[in-house]
Amino acid sequence: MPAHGHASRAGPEPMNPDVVDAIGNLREKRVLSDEQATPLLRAARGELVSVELELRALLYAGVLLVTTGVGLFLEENHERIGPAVIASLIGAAAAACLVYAWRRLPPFTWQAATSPHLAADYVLLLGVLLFAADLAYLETQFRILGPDWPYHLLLVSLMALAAAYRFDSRAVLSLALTSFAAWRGVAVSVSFATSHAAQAPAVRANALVCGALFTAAGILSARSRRKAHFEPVFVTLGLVLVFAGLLSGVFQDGRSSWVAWEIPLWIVAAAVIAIAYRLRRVVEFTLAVLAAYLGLLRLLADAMEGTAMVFVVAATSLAVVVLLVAVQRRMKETA
Amino acid sequence: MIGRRSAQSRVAEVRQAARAWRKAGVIDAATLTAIEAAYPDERVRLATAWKVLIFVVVSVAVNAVFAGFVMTTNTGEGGGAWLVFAAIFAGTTEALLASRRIGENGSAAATSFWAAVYAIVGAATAHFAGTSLDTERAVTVALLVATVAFAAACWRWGFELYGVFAAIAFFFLLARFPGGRLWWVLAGVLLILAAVRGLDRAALPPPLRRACGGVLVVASLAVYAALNRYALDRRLIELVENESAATRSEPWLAIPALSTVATAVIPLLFIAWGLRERRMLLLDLGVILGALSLVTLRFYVHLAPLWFLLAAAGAVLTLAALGLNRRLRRAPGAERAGFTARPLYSGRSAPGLRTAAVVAAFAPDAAPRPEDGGFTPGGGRFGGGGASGSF
Repeated sequence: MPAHGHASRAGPEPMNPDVVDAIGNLREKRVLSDEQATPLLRAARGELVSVELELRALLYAGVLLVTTGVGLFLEENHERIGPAVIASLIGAAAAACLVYAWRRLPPFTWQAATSPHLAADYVLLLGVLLFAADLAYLETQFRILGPDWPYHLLLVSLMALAAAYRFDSRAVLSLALTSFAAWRGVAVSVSFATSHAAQAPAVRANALVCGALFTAAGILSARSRRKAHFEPVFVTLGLVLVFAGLLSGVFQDGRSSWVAWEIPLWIVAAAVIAIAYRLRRVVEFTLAVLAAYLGLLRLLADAMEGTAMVFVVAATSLAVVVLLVAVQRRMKETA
Repeated sequence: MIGRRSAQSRVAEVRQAARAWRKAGVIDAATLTAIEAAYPDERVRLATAWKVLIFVVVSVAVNAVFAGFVMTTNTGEGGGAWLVFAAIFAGTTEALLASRRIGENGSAAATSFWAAVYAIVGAATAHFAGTSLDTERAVTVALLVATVAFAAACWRWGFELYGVFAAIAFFFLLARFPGGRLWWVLAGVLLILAAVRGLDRAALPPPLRRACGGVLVVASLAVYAALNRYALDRRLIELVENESAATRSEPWLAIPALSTVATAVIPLLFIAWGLRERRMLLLDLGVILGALSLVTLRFYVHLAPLWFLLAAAGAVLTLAALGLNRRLRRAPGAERAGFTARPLYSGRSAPGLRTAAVVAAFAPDAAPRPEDGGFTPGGGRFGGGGASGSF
């Protein structure tokens, strides 16, 4: 088969020479059996290569292009073709995607379900996005919700949440959470603190509430052992929102009101650092340290000025590095 | 590359492969422990998030020290202070990498990066005295120093990204001179050939092999840019040329038809090369360049409305991926011509990254708060990163 059909690659320089050498050594020492070593050697030599990542990238790009094309189509043609036809077409496409996913993905389980099908998760994502686009289009054309039109984002969020749990998709879950945050006026993808200064307090409050809600949902998932593997999505997104909300308070304009936000920032950061340290959770730990560090810099920038401030920032940063190195040794995180 | 670091990077490569084997279920936990005992890693290696955090904090610290020094001594002008600090940061990098417990935590990456940046700024500042002639000369000097500094930093300290930075600076440096387009093609082809040889050369430690991969990507893009029809018509490379030159040179490849052919053929060459050598990097490059060629085609030939092209391209990509996946999985042994759709043992799959990509591209815009003025007719929007529908 292919392994011996490509002598050009099986030459003196294998794809990963260190691993090839190591496999030979480990086989000699009987750490690896011949049955184990043979397939590993083929991969390390480059005689067999995986295109799995490339297929995923193609599917991701495909979904991105289709949804972008559909968005442009709606924008350019909705008056010419008519809303009923357009909504029906998109609805049918969304339904087709969801039916495809239903047939290909494993049945519901509270545990992680390994999908044997590479594309089904992406087709599911496309289906949910088309559903969302259709809903937004219907709302715009028929004004079903009127002034409460943002509620269609809540509907999208609930639908995506249901799909995420049914089909065990972390990608769709993240879509559900970002849609929920968008319903509350919080865009996860951009800074909300600088765009509309007048609405910043309300948006900040919503970010904090959404963040707390997501974090609580993550903890609940882990504790109840129901979709426990969703917990990192819930908690990471939740903490991003919480810290972004707190930091938007710390970095807001104005001479005095920002100081009040330092205290909750430090309390939350300290709590997250302590818990993340105990649980050996690197991402959450670094998020909290970074947030606390930024809060500290704001404090120093306000309390001092000139050369003294610069040197204190340098000294403080070095102290933080020393602290991190000490903590790192204790956490013993490996790459 | 520093000897001990080079040896440790080879050990790290084996340990990483072993963890991927364990994850794929090829070996059990006891075997993994035995492999890790046979290949002990003396250095503390951290998760990427932690290294990024330490990189950021160290960056703030070193720049604050420099700012404090300049403010205290009033030595910011002339480039001398920058060069002195570049040397200090380089020395600090050596010291950090000599420490087994500190060097791999992101701090040496930060000091080495700022050493190169300070050398570039220092050299450029030393050649700038305010006139436009000085500006042009300073830009050229900065690119020259960036090429040398990042290449040296990559070679000495083994941070592969610096190889990419050096290659980018090198091509921009070439574009500063008359005939830059020709230099891009010649130097690009030579670099591609050299980098491909380095990709799996056993004499090079893994970080330098990966740096070769980065250089290969940059050089391939440079050759493609030099021959691409759109870049030729817009004189994109000539825009970078030194403005103090008496006249801007005409593009070397002034035959549009030849450029058109090159735009179509180069991606196919990379795909064919990648298939023949079974190198995913070359195949990926071919696909990316092919996409760029299609965008170029769309710029000159109006085939269909943009929405149709996007949706059709998306559908074709999706169907192609599905078809290829099915074809590979149904082949004997789930492999065909040395390719498989199985994840194998590379550890390349990252569900966290996939989720982040979905959030980055598809997260919807925030609904305006009621204080914005209530309902705004015609305001529905869903999706980000261009994947949006606004009605």
